Amino acid sequence: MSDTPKSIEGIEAFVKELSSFAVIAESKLSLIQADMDNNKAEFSIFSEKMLAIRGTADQLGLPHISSLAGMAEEIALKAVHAQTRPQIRKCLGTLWDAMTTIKYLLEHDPFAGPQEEEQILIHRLEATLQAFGGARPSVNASEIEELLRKQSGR
Amino acid sequence: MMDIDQINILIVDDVSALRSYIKELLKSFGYCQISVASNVPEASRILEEREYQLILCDWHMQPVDGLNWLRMLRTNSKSKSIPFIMITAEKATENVMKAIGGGVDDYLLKPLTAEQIRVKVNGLLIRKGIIKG
Repeated sequence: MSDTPKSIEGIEAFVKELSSFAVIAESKLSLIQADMDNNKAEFSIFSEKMLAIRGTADQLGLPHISSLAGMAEEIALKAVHAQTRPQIRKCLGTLWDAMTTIKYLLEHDPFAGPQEEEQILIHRLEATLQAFGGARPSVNASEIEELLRKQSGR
Repeated sequence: MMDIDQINILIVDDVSALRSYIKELLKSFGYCQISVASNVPEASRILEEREYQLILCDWHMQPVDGLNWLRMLRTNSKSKSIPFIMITAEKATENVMKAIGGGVDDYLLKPLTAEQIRVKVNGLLIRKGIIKG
C-alpha cells in the first residue's frame, strides 16, 4: 500500500467508497443495456467511475483492481463513439465482465492479489481495447511536471 | 509572507476517506486552517466565507468537475489568483493539457504519497511568495 492510512478503519473507509463507485457504475451499464441506442452517452459516466476506482485502488495499493478499472475506463470511452450495435454490444459485454470482477474483488478479498481468472479477463480487456484502437496516449508524473514547467516558465 | 499556521487551505474531493487523509497529512506538516468540501457547490460556498491561500481539488466530481470550477475561478477577479492543485488519476495527455490550459498551478497524480503532497504544497506556496522558503 502507498502512504494511505494503515489503520483498518482507514482501509475499510476507502474500500467502502470504492464499492459505492462500483454500484453507480453498474447502474449505468444496466441503463445502457436497456436502451443501447439512446443511452450510449452513459458510458462516459461509467468511465469516470472507473477512473475513480482506478485512482482509489492505486492509492490503496491494489494494482490488479486498478488495472481492470483502467482498461474498463478506456473501453467505455471508446464505447461512447461506437458506431454500430455489435460494437456497443461488444463493449457492454466486456465491461459487464470487468464490473462483475471488480465488485467481486472489492466485496471479498481486495488485497488477495490477481488470480488466474482475472489474468484471463485482463487479456480479454486488452484485446477488446486494441480492437477499438488502443488506449489514449498518457503521461507520467515527471512528464506532467515538465509540461507545467514549460507552461509557467518556471 | 504568512506563517504556515495562518494559511487557509480548501480540500475538495468526493471521496471522504481521501479528504480526511489529505487533511491529516497537511495538519502533520503544520497547516491548521483546513476546510473540506465534498463537491464544487459546497466548495464555492466555503470560498465565500474567507480568503484561501490554496485549493486542492479532485477533478472528476458531480455535479461540477474540478476543471470546470477552476475555469470559473480563473475568470473571477476575487479568485483568479488562488493557487490551485488538481488531485487526480487522470493521465491522458489530452486531458492533462486541458488542466494546464485551464490554469492549474500544480498537479498531484494518484497514488498520493505524504512526501509528494508536502513537496507540492510547500513548493507552490513558496513559489507564489505566500510562505518563506
